[in-house]
Amino acid sequence: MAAWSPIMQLWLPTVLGWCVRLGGPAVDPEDAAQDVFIVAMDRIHSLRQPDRFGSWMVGITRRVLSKHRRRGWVKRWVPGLDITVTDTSGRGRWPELSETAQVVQASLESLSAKQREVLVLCDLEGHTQQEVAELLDVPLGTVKSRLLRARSRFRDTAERASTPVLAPATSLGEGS
Amino acid sequence: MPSRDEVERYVDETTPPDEVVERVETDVRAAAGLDDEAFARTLLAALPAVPEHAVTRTRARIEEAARARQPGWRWGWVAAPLGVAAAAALAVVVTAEPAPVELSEALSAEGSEAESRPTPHVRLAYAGSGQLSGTDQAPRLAWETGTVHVAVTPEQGVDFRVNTRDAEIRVIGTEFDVTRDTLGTRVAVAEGKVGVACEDGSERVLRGGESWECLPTTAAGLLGRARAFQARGDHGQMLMAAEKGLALGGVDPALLAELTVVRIDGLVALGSDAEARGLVEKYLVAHPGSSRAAELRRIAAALALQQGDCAGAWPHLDALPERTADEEGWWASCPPE
Repeated sequence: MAAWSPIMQLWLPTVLGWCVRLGGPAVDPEDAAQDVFIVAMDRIHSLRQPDRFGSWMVGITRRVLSKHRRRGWVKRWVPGLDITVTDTSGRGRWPELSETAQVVQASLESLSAKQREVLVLCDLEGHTQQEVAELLDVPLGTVKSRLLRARSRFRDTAERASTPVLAPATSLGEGS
Repeated sequence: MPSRDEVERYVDETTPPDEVVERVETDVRAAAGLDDEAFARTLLAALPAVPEHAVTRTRARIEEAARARQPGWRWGWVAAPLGVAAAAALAVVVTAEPAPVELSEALSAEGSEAESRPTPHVRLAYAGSGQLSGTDQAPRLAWETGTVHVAVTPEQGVDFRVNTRDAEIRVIGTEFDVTRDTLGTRVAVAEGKVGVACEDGSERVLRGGESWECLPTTAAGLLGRARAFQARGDHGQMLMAAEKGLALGGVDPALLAELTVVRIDGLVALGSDAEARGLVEKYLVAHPGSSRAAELRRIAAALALQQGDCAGAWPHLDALPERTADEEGWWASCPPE
């Protein structure tokens, strides 16, 4: 375990950040980050290119998050399961998120998982589109098109999301 | 329609304080004049880094989970240059081996070289045959014949061993060749360090550029080695191998005869005719029914005649079941006194 210490020192904040930003509303980022590292420990012998460790970790994180999202969906919609899905995003445990950050986070979560990935990696973490293409193992053109749509949708959602904050009760009752 | 109570509860729960409304409005509107990319970057910058307490808590959970799985885990390290985080390069990684993967592969390549990569840390290039077994962390290669080039990634905790009839070669991170043939087992280390334990009890640690040879330890193995040198014309080595085989105790009579023939050939080739003849005579007295008796009698007769000892040659020629024309001539010219 001690041998993993320097790796966790460097990578846990990054992986946890990915889990928060990429997971979506039904994923507990701390649960997911834990699973990412457990999987990484299990599979480290399959890492054939140590210089692509980052890409390898992105791949594991994506698969773990996908699994957690499915689990969240099942818990939410399968009758009879004893579940509490309210605020499984973990935000409740991180009260220091500013109000603006919560709006931004909610806007991020409105995107599809694929759009979220490219937006976070490019516009939050500052990777180039080429780097993101390598990290996600998709063509550069795919990254570009996803990013274009993600930015547009993120903007729409963020701008809309600010409205109910400003006037939360004005439309209550409509359609009910 | 919701009741008045529901409306009030909703407003209580969702209406932010005035200062919050102002802050969010300011942030979003400040970004409103930007293009989509700048808008996204500006707003995403509002997301804080992951809180330290969340990292600490998650780390504790991971460590606890890993400890709970401890029995099957072993740790090592591997260098890992990193690319994703702004922190860039890092150079430590681990080998984690929760459940060893069983290996079982028959290696066989005659005439051309083949390659096998049984684990990510072991590469084998070979021309010959052998059987791979063990686990991915402790591969075992029983190498029968031919040459195998082994490359093991250093410092991965891989305990790789090659066994031949003559030696066990133990590796922890290196590149080396093992050649197993009738001469024995030769180990040549390209880089790293290798421990070689020969079947004859000798041990040696080889470093890059060094090589070592483990001789066969059985009579059959030594006979094979002697004949291999015989084919090369290296009579000194041939003689040594044969003598080593003859010195072993409890050797099968057939092998004893073969080794004796080879030794005599070696002595003759090296010009030790008298010693060769003495050996033949001694052997034929001890083993008159030897499977190689006829050949040995021919040798004994030729050696005697070469030394001008016609009387000494005649009994051997006389005892031959069949004589060649030359031998008939020798036999006729060397009558018993």
